[in-house]
Amino acid sequence: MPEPTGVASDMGVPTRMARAGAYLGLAALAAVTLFPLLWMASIALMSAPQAAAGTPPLWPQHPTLANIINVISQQHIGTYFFNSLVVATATTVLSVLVAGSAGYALAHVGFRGRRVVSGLMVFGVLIPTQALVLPLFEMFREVHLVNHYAALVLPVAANPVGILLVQAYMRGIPAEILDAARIDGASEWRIFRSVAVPLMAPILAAVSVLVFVVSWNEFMWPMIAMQQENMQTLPVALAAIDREHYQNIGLMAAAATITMLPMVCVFVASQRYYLRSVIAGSLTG
Amino acid sequence: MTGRRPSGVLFVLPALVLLVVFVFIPLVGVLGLSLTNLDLYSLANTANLHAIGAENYLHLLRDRRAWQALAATLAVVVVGVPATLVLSLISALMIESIAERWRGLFRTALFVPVVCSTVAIAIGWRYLLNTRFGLVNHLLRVLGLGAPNWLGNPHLAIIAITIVVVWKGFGYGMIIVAAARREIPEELYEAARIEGAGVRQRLLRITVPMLAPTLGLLALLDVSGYWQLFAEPYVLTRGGPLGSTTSLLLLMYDRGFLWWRWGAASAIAVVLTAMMWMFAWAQRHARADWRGE
Repeated sequence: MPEPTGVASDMGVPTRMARAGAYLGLAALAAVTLFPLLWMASIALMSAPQAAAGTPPLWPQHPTLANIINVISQQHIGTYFFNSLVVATATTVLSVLVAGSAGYALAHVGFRGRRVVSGLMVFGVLIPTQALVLPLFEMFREVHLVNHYAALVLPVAANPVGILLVQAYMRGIPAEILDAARIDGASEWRIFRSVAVPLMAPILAAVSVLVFVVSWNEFMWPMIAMQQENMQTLPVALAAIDREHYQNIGLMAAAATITMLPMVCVFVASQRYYLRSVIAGSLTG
Repeated sequence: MTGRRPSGVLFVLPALVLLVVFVFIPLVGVLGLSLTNLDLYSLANTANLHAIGAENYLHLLRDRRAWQALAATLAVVVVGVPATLVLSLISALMIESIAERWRGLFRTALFVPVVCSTVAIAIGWRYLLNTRFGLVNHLLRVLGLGAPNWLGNPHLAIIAITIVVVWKGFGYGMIIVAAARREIPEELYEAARIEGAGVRQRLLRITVPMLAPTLGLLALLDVSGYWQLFAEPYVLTRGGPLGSTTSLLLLMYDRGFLWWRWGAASAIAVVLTAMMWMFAWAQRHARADWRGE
């Protein structure tokens, strides 16, 4: 019999039992994490009387799209969806450009003040940005950018975590590769574009998924900065619909599902990159 | 070399400018605002705007609602962070002990809440926790445990919010701990086994100490996240009942954007920031001590 390894051997019980325990434990945890989400999606497909009947049943008896159609036609969820998509996409593109160039330079281009800039990024991670919304709102009001997409994109475009992720990743790439291009007389910009960017592609993919999801789910600042209804993002609109229609469980479940489902899909589709950024992010600390 | 220097700066310039304008200047700004009496009246007529020194802070010291918000936020951090760490650790160790091909499935299932909008999550949990119709109480009734008023009882509401926060957050730590567990050399366990170390000893003497730096870092991440608690109480309870779930950030939001008492709200923001830095500082020291051993 092979020596038991890993956790199973840390637990003090025969491996097979420990393993069975691990499967059971994980199945129980998975049920707890997934059930509320699946049930919400299920309620979204229920008819009004079913959803409103005390504790809604687990499964829609006669699945209907009524709630979803209602959310689209009465609550203009399409507009909010579009806003979220614009904001998250613009934030992602901009932060990847910013983090890519900054992270690359911090790792591989010598310049004066590099250590200071690097230190500022670490400091940036430690700032609770949500505590800064008052002066931020005043700034955007002064330049008349409240209720503009820019108000949601610009403040988070320089993502210190993203920059540190790229920097850490690029440190792992030997400088010789870049130096070879330098000796050939290529300009820094050219080296960045045709040598560094292809090398960084995996970490840039990871950062972009991370930023996209965070930006999509942002709540407090978008609620403050987007006071005009037609400029609101999904979570902000969801909270507003909730204030008015919280008793309509079917409607709320539909709106919540429409808000969550895209990120669940993005996560499942890009897990490999997303989880890598989560893991790498913990190593830069 | 001389030609390279300016371009290096150019590469970091966008990041630097954005951070200075949208993070560092507001950071100084909020400190400045906290020393003024900026509110609806002085907004309407700037002749009423004065620097008032530390008055906003002195007010906070005598403000029952501020102490209550501090206590509520601390409660979520003090109970929620250890709970999250334990769940992250246990689920990570379980994931690492099962067959490779099942890991992806469970990893996905346990991580999904992390990528979901907090507002949407909180709406779902509010129905689950409903006293009369909620499924949680339905189950408790079946088990004969009564039907507590989760969101209507001041003591229970903060617990309910902590549960939701932990439920949403532990998957994140699980991924990180699982990655760190894979880095522990298997030889350590082999050696311990040969020396006759029991399984419990191996867990406490190898696994946990080897994961300590990772857990310390996770604690910092969790604290900084939970310390900025906002959306959960905003949706689940709107800070109630009786202000029992009003977090520091929610109090700042209410004072700043409902009552337009910007000076007072900024003082809360500064206190919140300072306390987070104190924790980060303490964590760094703890980590340095541990490394020094």
